Amino acid sequence: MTDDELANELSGALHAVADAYEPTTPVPDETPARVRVQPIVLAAAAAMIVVAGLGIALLRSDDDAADLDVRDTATSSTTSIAVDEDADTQPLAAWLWTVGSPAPIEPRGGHEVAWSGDEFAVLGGDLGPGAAGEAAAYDPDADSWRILIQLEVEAARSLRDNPAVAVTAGIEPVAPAHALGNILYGTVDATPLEDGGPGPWTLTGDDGGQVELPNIPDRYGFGFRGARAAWTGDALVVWGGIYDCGPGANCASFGPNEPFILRPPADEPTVEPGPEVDLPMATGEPVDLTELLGITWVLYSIELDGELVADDEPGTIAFEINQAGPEPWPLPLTATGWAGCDIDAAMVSQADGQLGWSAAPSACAGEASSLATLFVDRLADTEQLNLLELWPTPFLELTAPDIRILLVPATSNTVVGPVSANPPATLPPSYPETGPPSPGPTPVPTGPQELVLARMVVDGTTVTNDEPRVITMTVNGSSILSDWSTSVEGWAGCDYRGDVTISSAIDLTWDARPDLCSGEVSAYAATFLDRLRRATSASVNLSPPLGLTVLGPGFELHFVVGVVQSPPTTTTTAPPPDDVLPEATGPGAWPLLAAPFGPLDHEHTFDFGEETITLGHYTGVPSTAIVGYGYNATLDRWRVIQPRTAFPGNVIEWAMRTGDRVSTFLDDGGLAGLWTYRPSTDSWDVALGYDGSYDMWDFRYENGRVIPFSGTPEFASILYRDPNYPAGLVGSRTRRLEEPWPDPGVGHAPSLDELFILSLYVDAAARNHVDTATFTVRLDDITRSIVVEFDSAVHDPSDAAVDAARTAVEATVNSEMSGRNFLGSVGDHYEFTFVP
Amino acid sequence: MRSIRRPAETEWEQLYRDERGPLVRAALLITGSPEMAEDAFHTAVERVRPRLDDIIRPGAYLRTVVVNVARDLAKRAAKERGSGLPSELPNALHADLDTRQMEIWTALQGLTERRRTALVLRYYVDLPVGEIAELLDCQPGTVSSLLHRGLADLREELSDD
Repeated sequence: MTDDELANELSGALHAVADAYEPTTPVPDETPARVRVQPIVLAAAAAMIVVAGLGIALLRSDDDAADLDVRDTATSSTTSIAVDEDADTQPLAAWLWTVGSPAPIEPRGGHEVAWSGDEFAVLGGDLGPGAAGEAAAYDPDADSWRILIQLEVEAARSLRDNPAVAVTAGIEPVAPAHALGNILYGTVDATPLEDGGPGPWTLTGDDGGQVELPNIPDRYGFGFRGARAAWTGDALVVWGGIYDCGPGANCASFGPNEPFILRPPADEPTVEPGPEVDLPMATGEPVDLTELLGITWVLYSIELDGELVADDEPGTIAFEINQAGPEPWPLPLTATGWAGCDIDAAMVSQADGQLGWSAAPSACAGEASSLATLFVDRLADTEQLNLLELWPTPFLELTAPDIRILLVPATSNTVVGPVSANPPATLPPSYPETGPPSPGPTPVPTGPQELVLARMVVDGTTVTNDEPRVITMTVNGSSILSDWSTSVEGWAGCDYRGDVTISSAIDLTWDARPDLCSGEVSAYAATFLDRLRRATSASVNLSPPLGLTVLGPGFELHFVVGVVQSPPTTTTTAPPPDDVLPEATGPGAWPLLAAPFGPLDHEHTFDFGEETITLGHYTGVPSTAIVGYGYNATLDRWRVIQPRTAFPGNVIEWAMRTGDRVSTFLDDGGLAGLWTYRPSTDSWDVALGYDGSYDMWDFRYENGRVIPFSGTPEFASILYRDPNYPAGLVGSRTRRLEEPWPDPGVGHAPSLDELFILSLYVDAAARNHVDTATFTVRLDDITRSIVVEFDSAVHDPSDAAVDAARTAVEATVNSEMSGRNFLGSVGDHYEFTFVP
Repeated sequence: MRSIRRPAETEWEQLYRDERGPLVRAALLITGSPEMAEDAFHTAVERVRPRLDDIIRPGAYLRTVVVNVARDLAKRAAKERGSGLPSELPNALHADLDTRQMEIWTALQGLTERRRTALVLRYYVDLPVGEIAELLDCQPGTVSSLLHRGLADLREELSDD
């Protein structure tokens, strides 16, 4: 059944369901009982009477405030402010900030705020050169905003002097029963410290009183001026102002756009710890997953958009795994509980390997909380979390596009670390801890580290880790985070003799002696060695929690840092001399007698005459690899093709023979790309990498062109033109497919759209870890080659580095071409060549 | 100066009368529950009516609010249920559906809220992708993806039955 046929059936079913239902909502002449018309006019008139002559100050209902717990603000303690005479006194320093959802209006200064009893209203204000006309209201309980009104600019400017405008906007200011330090409305300022660190946050009431507030986490803590605040009766809501990034820094801007809410600490969530269990050690024995039943897991780290979020809050998730008894992986899994106050986990198993996870970022403070809104946003678009690895030293890793979460057991007998790349030293000293005790940070390991071979996969088969194995790794004597691509030497069991050299991020050589030992690893060692010899490259990833991961065609090696149950017993065996080992001479020198891999994910086979090419992918921890093999029927020989590293989380969505090569499109993981394999040279060309919204599912190949005809407009604009290869790609203006493609026109200066396409190529180059990328830009009779150099040792180039490269390319294009008198229609004769 | 459209009360009545049926039914398809659908429409009316004078396109605005409220209610209900269990269609509506339509309806409830909403907006409300993107606050490309993958999920759900 095609999509269209299914859509027609769906449409019919939807209409059938809808038509079968007759709404019970009353029509207007039945006077809908629940429709409440707010008495705007009456409210406006009444409020105008009340506030007449008193200006904006009466928005704060000072008459009511006179009955409050009025204190001498000059002597107000910063730690013992009573906010409710009937409630226990709460030390203000223990109160917690939360960050709410972003406002639907632009951040601004000079605005006014009002509390209606239910909502925190933001009215008017200045937006750089002009005044802001919108008013919006924030409901702190629901963490939601709504637009109140669109005011004319002049009306917005008059808000401060004309509160009736605010009333007209639908806000009836009220005064809460009690005030924070006698302040109902005020301004919050945070002055950065001399060293650029976050300064104290001070609330200055509109009547002059001052209260020093707990500092908000440093992500927002550099400084503010003019953020407006209102006391709601049980919380202080703050929004807007000028964002200051530190003394001497010229980067002041409006924002951020999120409200900050200061509340007394809520009752701590109750965490039911799992039963005490003896966790399996990294013994080399297969882990019986039933042993992990009921383990309480601690949130270990969150990576968000590639950044490691400091785990500065205690967090626990109670998992129940494999309740029905032993099951093959993937496991049915349910989990309840919470992971810190960030993630109010209601995690359920929707299907094997799929988890739903709702998050409530508003519950607490801390760096993780400050990023929680972003985290929720990523989760919202994910709809699926992949449960990737359950390590012998138990790490539970959940990954989704732009998110990576690591959990470790709460009991610590085998927990490695945690190792925090970003220890929470920058948090305010008074940062309150709630919930169960955190495992706490440990120093980043320096110097030689012991790595344990935790998991090995050869040709898709997980090999039992039945032999002692230790690698001593020297990592520049410093942080393994910053300098990891150096050298590894030593022994890895008796299977694999040392001399492991990691000369760059992706190059790996490794000599092995499988004849020296026995055991299951040894039994697979010959195959492993064969695979290694055929791998001219492998992807290597090193991260503190997981140790070292090596991915190559047909093998995966996963190491974890440090825990060995017993000392290695074979390290005293002298390694054999080098000349004992046969010399590998590269791919093809070690013919295989059978297909080197089992079935590959998303496998595609293409007939190239004497040889058939089979391509597929497998998704590993650091990235996806496109792997495959060729079979030459004449020679009856198999070969492993050059693997190609794609973006993390990618899967092959589509592959097609295009002339003398195979074109593949991979997406997922928030990144997508086109890669083309040329069997005759066993080489790959990177066509395009794209970061952002993507999708593409239908292609056709006509007249030497690969033409995408379903997908996002950005991709739809990319044509793959074979005859001109390697010029190959034609980037042109972004346009929707339903629009006619113009005939090539006469020359023109590059447009912004075209520069955008070019910038995608720069991204692709940077993210594929090449040293030098050459962009050839042809514009009619003018051809310019622009060479951009990257540092391929940097695994993930910073945005600044990519931006700098992009700027350099665009500047060259502009300086070389924009001065020319290119007139005429805009065509698509505009090409880029990417030469990795 | 920007002029603000100020519909007369009769226009509101007209709007209410015209939109009530389609929007309640759309909310029913999003939430799977007549009660939640009625509630979503009521809530939306309460929010929109007081600001009607300031709204340029009241029909579109009302539809946006109905969809947003319905989605919130559906998500909250799913969370309270503790799982993505299918919403049960009231018995009174069963009689009007044939077996295949019932299968499709049941399969639709197995989809994620976001994909289900995208399918409803496209194949019942008949909105173009651009308007769905505005309603769901995402890029048009994301809507295309939601529709494509929603149909794929639906096909898979149907094949599982």
